[in-house]
Amino acid sequence: MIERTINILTAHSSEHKTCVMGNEGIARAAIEAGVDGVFSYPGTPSTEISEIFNHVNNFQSETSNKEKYPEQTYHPIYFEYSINEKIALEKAIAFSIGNKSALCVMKNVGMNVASDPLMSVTYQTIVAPLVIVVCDDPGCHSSSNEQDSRYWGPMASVPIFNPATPDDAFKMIKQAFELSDKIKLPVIVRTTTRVSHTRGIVTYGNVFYRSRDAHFDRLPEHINIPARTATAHTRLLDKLRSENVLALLKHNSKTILDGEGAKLGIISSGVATSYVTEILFQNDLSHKVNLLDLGLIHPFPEKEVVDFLKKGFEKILILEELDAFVESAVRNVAQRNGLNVSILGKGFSEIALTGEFSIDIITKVLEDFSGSSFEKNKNEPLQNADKFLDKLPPRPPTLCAGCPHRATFYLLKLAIPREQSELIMCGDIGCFGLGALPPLKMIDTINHMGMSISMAQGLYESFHSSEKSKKVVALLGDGTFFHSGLASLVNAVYTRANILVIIFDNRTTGMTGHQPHPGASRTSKYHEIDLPPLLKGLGIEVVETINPFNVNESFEKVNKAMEHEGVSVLVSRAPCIFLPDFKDKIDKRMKIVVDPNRCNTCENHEDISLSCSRCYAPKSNLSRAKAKLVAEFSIAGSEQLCPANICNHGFFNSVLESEFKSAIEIVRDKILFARTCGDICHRPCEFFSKEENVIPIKLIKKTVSSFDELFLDFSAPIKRAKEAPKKNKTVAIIGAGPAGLSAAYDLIQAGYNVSIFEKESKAGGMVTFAIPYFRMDKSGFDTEAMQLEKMGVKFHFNRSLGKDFTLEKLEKEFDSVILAIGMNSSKTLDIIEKSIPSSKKSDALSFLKMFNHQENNIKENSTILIIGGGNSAIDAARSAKKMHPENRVIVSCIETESTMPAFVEEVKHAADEGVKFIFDSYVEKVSVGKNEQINIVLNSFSDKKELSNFHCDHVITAIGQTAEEAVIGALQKDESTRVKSENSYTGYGNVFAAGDISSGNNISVIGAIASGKKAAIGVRKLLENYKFEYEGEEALERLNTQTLPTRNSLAQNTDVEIEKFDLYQSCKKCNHCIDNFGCPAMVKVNGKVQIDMSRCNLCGLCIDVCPNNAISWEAETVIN
Amino acid sequence: MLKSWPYNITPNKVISTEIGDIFIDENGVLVMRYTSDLDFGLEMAKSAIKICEDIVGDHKVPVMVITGEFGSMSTETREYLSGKEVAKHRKAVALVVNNLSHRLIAQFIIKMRNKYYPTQVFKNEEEALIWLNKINES
Repeated sequence: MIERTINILTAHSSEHKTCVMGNEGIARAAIEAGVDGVFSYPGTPSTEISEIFNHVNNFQSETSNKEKYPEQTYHPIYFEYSINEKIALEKAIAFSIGNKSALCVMKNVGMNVASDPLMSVTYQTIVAPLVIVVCDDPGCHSSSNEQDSRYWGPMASVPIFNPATPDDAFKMIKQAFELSDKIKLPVIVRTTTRVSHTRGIVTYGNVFYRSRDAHFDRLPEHINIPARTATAHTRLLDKLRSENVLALLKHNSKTILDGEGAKLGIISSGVATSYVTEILFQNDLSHKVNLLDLGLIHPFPEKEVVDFLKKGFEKILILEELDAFVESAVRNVAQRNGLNVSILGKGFSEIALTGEFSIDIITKVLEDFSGSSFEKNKNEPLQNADKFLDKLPPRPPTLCAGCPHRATFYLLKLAIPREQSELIMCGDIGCFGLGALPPLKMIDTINHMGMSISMAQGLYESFHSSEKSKKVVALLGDGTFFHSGLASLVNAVYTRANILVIIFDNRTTGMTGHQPHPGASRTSKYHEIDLPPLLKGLGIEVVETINPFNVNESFEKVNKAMEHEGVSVLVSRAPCIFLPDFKDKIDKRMKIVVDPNRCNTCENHEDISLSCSRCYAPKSNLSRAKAKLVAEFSIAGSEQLCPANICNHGFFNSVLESEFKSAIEIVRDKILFARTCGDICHRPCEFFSKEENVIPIKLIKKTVSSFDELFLDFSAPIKRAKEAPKKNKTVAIIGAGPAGLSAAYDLIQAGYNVSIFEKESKAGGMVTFAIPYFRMDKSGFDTEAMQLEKMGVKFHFNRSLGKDFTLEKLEKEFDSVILAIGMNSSKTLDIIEKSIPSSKKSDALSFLKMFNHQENNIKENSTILIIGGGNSAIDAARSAKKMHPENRVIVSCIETESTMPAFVEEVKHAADEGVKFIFDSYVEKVSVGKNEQINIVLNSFSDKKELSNFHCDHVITAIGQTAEEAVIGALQKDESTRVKSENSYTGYGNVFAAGDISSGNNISVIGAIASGKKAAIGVRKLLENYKFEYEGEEALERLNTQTLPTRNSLAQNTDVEIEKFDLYQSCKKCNHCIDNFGCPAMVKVNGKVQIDMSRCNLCGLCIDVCPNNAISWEAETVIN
Repeated sequence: MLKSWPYNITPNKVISTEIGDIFIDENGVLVMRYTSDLDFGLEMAKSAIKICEDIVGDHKVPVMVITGEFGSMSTETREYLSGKEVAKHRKAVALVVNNLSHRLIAQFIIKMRNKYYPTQVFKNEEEALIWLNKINES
């Protein structure tokens, strides 16, 4: 860069041809013209001009260079990046008034900002020459519009040059300085992208240095008051008609082609001249056409154009990019001079008012104009290109890997969920405008530079008077904030707007090439202004600086700023990846790796063909990612396993997103009984966890399944059953309790023909007949159970094993049989059986069945003794109490409170309802008095001493059940009379066992369901060589072997906020980083994310982003 | 306190109903405080809404609903309470919930049902009143 800077400052006494970019030629021309100071605001396509003068200024300011390069430092050129174009032009005007020549550089839209001083200074005067370079952007490569800056000439009454080539631009800048000096007016040189950014031969000459002493003359023209403006306007127009101007009009109206007798005339201006000249010469048509190029277009070179039009052409073609500026003037001139010639311009052939010209466009236009076909220099499209286009990956513009703006947008995505609110995000121009595009999509409006804060204010006010009053968010870059956001923010504070302003402070003006700005000066040349004190000084109460890469810390600050009523500002500060502040902090010895076993891997089931209802995956993944970063309690999915293997992780995260339908479907992916489990599951998933705080899955399930709107829609499992590929195999299930029904639910969805044989007249088993109605929604269970018929299961009610059919018969008739009949015979106590008449005693199952049928054989105000410590005993006790609230109910069990097998919650409910417990006790004596009153003596089970002696009216025995011996005679039994089975297989024919009748602790409803599912897997293994084990085996095993703790903290912990929890595990359906983060260094190959280290800038945020915890740092090299 | 009082009952005068207490505070916020263990049925809801309409007349007011430890709310009741008819006198509703189950129900109602007025869930009455008063002032 130093070499180039020296080169551009070096004088050449003889012509020195060099190939340079248009903008470099412009800078050199200004130096040769003796410019004293340059003022600019960077913006494409003008930026390189400013950059060169920035380097020149730095070079000349270096003390050592003054001695080393006396020629190049002899004439110091002041340079500044002003905070905006208005300030730049105002300072340039003042610089000129101080008798120093000035250059002011900006892009097209910058002139709008600078228009106020331009429109005024023309009525006044400048002293030293002042040239304004404004660069247009046809096609909007990097601009918010493609406005045509040539209009500033007639609008402000200033001369305007329109160069066609870098050499043109070079020459016209020098002419502009001379003209400005002579007529004391600013002169504009307007370029376009293809002039500024094209390289061409430019002839460098001597550097002219006219020593100007700074001074100020008290001229009356420096005071702009209405009394002087009318005459000033006249004087201004006179300047444009001066000889100085007329001479330059002639000089810059060049007849480039002058074929004798040619019938076609072309008038062109700007880059169009380059294209048309090249095409005409290459196709040997220069003799057929006359070409007039207009370089100085305001004032309009009328005389030169009239002379051209009078040459007798059949038709005239006007070529210029963007508006019909020249065309209108030519038509005007022709009409006023009575020249009847056909003029073709905008609308002819492919000449449009929009976009850039190209060689192809102009070739087509000239073919149409001349009626000839040009063969040379045609760009032929790639053959069969269309076939390849579809296969190419989309390459939308995106923020760089490691860009802090992405980090800020990601943070906002987590903190301000857009899907759930009508929050409006008003963006601004700059790199971060890419946040409007997928996958970030965090911007709703982008207008012109600096409007974001005004847009937010205006939108807030429009909603303010309505019921939908809400905070609006403004987003803008740090450079933009100083450019034109600050004044708007003052207005927001002044008008008490309720907005959140987020300043994306990447410590530079990133989009235009990392120029400094007041908030990030980086050199001692400029004084840096720290944003937070400035903002607080405006009276803004909530001003927070956040590090967007620290999502956890920043999250709360975003929430606080959102909650604040009034103006709040967040300064999201982290350096652009191109700055040393970023680069120097990267540990290049590290790399980022993705564990493929965690990325897009289902931790719930190995068989990925099983249904998964994570139909709202992107949103759910956002909540997973948020939970990972902000939750207070993190629990691995393996800590809250379900014996039926319901994906609690997917269920919980769906609820976090309020996607309740997804939640209930996730339950139904595995079991039919969402509501029933919500009612009566003893929630082992909550007790398995070693964590102190666990997620109240059961309560959530109960609530979610209570929404009838969702609950009653069983279409998904019915559809699965109907659409399952048929296996043409038959399975008989004996018993329609939860185990049998669950086996049927899985098998029918796997394509089997399933028949259920049930001895009762309806399905449900113990759930229907034994569990008291007050513990569950019986109709909800019936609704769930009856879905099986709709799914295709055949029910055979009132058919008893051993009476209506035999196991041997079914075993022969069906491809497989599942025995799920439960334990239906109650155990008895001799002392009770012998002493108490049948009218005064019951077994628990009979009593509960009677209770559920609303039958009552116990009179009011009775004392009832329940013997037993299991769930049936507690159900019987609570039922007896509910039968008549005045009843006195006593439970006697041999266990202590902590060892009794009944579920803790149920014991607590019973105690709360007034049931009295006598633990560690047994019935020592029973006698029945004359009035049929029963006298009971209870002794301590541990020391055999008498504990209690009382009268009662009824005794219910609840000491367990046994299998009905007659019906399972052929099968082997264990010591508890259950059918012996291994992996559900009984060892007899094709018969499997499930539920309470099978070995293991399957007495709970979830245990029964799980054992039914496991038996279904056994059947599938037998009949179709299904290769996967039962997916809930681990939890089922724990259910059978793990002693569940007695703690019951969750029962009281229902006010828990679920947002505090993160239930994490890997998920096959995750596409979070691709859907929400969009880092270009992250690519998905064969379903797994990989890091492209050639693109990765090692910001490391993806490690926090991944909800599967699949991404981590890894040392790439070991440093000794 | 509002400058003029357009409602048909004095501020903070409590009407005890089957579903709980109903009153309108001095800022014009209609408060419905449900009793505990309420099995909220459709007929109950209709009579409660009738009382609310008698209080506010033709005016639209912000409403604060404080759920008790109620046991259930039927689908029909949910549909009715979030329907167009009830919306006639509601400017906005703040649901004050004190347990997870109620909160999920509130979220469900907001997501599935409410289309007519802004509704938000709060953990305490103070926050709810701040939000409602702000809406009332707009």
